[in-house]
Amino acid sequence: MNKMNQTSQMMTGNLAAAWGARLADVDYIPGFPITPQTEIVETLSKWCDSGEVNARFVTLDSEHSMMTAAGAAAATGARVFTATSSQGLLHAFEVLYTVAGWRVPFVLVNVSRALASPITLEPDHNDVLAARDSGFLQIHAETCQEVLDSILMAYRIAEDPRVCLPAMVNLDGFYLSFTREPVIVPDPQAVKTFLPPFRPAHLGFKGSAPRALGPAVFGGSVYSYFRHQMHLAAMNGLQVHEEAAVEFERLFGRRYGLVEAYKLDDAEDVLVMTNAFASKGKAAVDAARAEGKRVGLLRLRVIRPWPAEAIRQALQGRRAVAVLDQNLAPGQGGILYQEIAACLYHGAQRPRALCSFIGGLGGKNISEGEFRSVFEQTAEAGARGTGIGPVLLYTEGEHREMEQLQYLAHDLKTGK
Amino acid sequence: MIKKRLNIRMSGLGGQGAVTAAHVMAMAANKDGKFSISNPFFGAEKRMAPAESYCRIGIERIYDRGELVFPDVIEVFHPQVITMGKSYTMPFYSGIKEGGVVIINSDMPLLSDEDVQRLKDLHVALFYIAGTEIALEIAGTELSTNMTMIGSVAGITQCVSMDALDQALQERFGKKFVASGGTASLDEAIKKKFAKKEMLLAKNLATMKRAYELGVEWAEKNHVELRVGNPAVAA
Repeated sequence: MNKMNQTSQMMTGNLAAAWGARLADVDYIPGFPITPQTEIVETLSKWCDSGEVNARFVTLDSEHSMMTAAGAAAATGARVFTATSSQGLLHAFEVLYTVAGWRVPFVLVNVSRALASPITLEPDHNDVLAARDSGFLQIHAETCQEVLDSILMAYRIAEDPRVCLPAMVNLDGFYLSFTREPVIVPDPQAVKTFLPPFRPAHLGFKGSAPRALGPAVFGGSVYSYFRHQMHLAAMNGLQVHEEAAVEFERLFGRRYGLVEAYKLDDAEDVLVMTNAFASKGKAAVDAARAEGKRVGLLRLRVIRPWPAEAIRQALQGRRAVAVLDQNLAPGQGGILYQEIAACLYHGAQRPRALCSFIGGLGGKNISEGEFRSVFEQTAEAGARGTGIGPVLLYTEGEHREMEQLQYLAHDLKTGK
Repeated sequence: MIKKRLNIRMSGLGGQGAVTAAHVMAMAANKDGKFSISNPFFGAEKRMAPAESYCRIGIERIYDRGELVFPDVIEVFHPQVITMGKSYTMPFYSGIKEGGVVIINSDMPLLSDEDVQRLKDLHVALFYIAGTEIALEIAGTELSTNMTMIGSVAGITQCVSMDALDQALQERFGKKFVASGGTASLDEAIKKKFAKKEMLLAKNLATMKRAYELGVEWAEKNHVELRVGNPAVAA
């Protein structure tokens, strides 16, 4: 039975995110609403008003301004939290790169929602992965508990002097944002041990000693130097994450890896997934194992920095690997598939076949049948020794429904 | 039938509290020491538009998420879900598992003979409850309709206890009175507000309890046994 019963509360992913900011004892929260993220800033504004959170809450006129305010406040040495989603993240895009270049640590929560057009509210990862080259670190969460925990870890990693970069924590709209599941709220005193007050040596504001961040530089050599520094700092995040994970486990009893291995020990074929749909993937692994198939799942958690070595370790020697991307780069395929292929290339024992699947776009369900088909096609590819893809997952039933809609639209257009 | 997990799909209209109902059920299951997860689905957030919520309750960790395609129990909060097709799935009972239960809030039968036959073929039991009437009678507001939907499914399946539901309701809606630190008259006004809230809570609980009893009675009379537990132990 559920051992967490005594201390856990049923909480949405959005509320868990707000708790993360609250426990991190943030100083400044610039906010702007967007579905399915709104509950986060709504909750925090309420807590700021009631005094439960001792922070300055400010509503801005857009995500562009919001992200600028977040970066500028962090540059003064304040601990900053903000959240957005989808189109909002894209609206802030210019500033993401800018503030990352300022080397100001703060945490941004993104609630994944598929991008227009057409418009939808449900999740896929084209929004957050569009920001993969911005300089923000990225942690992608599978459960509501992991949302809260990852925010605390993100602050610690981002603020480490070896890193000093902003960090993004991603959770899926609906599948986590509005989903209630048991969450343990960590003890605030223990959080203070894990995450001491933010006292950056290189940031701060003093009227008598004005400073400029990110000024214009020409000729490329100065520019390259700073960009190289960003890359090296982000890569330091791998080690810093491991240190933070050890300390987190000591204080709170939960251990987070750069990646998560689910039933991988004896698995010959491995499915790679991220975020909340990885739960569905785990259920599919269990179902396939019940039929005698030796399959497992690798969940990517830290996406930036890219944990190439951990991924290689987990995937080497397998017969076949299927990367299930919940995103689509039109004209290319799955975004994470490319990155996984790149990091496996230099491994001596790379899998015999690497397959690419695209599923769950706009929150589309991935059915048991689709998972079964993914495992079957992957096993065949492994036996054959050549990969496949990108395979776009779509069921017969969904196709029939779509055809009906098209008939309807056609009839309306032609007036029949 | 004893199952490791019970999947409940609640189909209602915006404003009826279907999302809250699933939340309260999941909270109660958690208090009973079971695993649970609840989530809603809706498009634009507006009144009377289709709104669905899902609650999964089990004895093992739940890896399933999102839309509930194959429910054991379907609860229809409003006749329009059926009569006007305000549902994300057509027909509203699509995906219902064999041996499942359909609970409909209506004071009169709504299904066509064909639908009744199809449910019969699947050994799905059909329970009509005049939930809105019960809510009006006991709580004095149709806003408490969702309490009857919680009560009836809990009564029929025993998936959560009345005690846990009571606690969950208190946790979700109850707030302790805190003196304002302002004037005495302000404190008085706040006290009144809380007293009113307490009364509302009691009425909601009574509404839920009435539906629970109706559910228990109906399940016994019709030999409907759909339970959450360990099938191996039960056998």
